Amino acid sequence: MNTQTMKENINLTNMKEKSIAEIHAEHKQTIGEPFCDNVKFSTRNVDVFYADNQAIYDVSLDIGKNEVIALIGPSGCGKSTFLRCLNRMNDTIDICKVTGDLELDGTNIYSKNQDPVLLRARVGMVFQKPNPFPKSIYDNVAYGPRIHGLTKNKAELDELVEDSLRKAGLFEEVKDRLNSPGTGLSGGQQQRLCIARTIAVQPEVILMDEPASALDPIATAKIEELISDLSKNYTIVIVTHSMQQAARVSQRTAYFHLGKLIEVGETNQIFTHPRHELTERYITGRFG
Amino acid sequence: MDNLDFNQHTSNQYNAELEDIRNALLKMGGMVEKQLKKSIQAMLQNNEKMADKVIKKDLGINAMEVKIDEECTQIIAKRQPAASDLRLIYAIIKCITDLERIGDEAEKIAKNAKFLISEGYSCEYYKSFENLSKLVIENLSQTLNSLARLDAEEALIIAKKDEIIDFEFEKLNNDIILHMSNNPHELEKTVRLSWSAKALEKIGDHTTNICEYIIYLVKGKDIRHLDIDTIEEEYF
Repeated sequence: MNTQTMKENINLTNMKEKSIAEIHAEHKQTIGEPFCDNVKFSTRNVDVFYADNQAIYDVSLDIGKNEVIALIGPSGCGKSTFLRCLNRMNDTIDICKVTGDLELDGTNIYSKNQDPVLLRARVGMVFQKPNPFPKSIYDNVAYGPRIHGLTKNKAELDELVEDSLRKAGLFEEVKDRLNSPGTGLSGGQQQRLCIARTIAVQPEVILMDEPASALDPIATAKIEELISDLSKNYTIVIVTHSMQQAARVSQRTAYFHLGKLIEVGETNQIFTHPRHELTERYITGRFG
Repeated sequence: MDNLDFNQHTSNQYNAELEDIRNALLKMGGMVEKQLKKSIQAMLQNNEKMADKVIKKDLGINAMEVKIDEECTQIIAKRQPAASDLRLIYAIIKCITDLERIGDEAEKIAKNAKFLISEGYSCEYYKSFENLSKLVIENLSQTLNSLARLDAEEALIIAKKDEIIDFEFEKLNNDIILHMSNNPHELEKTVRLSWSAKALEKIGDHTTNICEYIIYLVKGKDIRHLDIDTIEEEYF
């Protein structure tokens, strides 16, 4: 094969492709396996509107018990909006309207009887930027259990605080300064403090909205290690812009694009052989 | 998802890196194909000079393997390729190993040719050897074309044809063995012919491996060690 033939052959693969907007417009149904066994969270036909703007279109997705599921997609794709539906954080936005069925252990979380505060105790959340309270390390973790009356006395509370800090992989680093302000910790430590605070109220599900995006690689690695440990006891839904992170920490990955859930599958499959062209384009960086 | 286009990344630099590495792979394929043709030609035409050239040029192919390997490592380190990009890099790393081994087999044929030429040897089975080599060269050329076009369907057709190569090799080898037993005084020479025929058969196997990587790259399915009918039924 001479060089000229090689060049011609290469150009043969340079086929005219549909635009991303065209593919998105044609997309009707989620590809892959949006449903699973041993369901913790079941969402069906979820639409979300901000006033007249629809942010989520007919999303149906199961989240399995003790699984780590990563929600990925470009900015504005609706992944954070969807995440916030899972513990009704969107209730705090007046113009936001959520429709569809969202069930936690078979109970509708948007029913009138559901107290959102109790829901958020069961479904905790960790945000992009660490946001410790302007209180001591101890009080940051003890705050939730005190409000929810989870402990009977100081000894029990001490134990719960220590246990939560241990589970968050922070106890050894802060055990000698539990009364120092939480805000005095490094960024990575603050984020683990926020995770300890979330764990302290003994949630069943932890939602993480880009939990490591403000952290350096070492702090990120610690958070990822923590996610792996926590998944033994909790169901974790993580939104991340780092595809390598999604690939490393999750068992399943869901790809969102402009409010639609495009594809869901085993993480190993999504990152080696995605089935939908939009997923392929996103994870290979062909979105220019 | 069969429409692979490696030129659409947001990063043009990444496009260029992938294009360079693909071009390098195809160039290496072209070099190996040429080496094989020359080694056969050297043997059939008693051309010792040509055999020497093949032996010398194998070093260039080895160096090319190392260079492409290094470039793939760099891309993995810098770009963390995923999906079709990852499969491309993986397939390239695997392909160059098989190409390098095809180069080694061509070198073996050239070395055997040199020996046979120096002994002034020729026998009636050269014609069968030539026919076998034509099948092997044709398969390799078509494989390199389907690698350039990323044509999984074509790769499957080529992989199927390896059976014919195996059959023809067995036939030739049996004939050579019979010749050996009838002409024990020629043993030292006929064994070289047998080794060269075996080298062709091995090249057929390496070519099939490359076809499998093409199918993996395009279809995302690892079809190694599966029988051809199963592959056809399940993945095409």
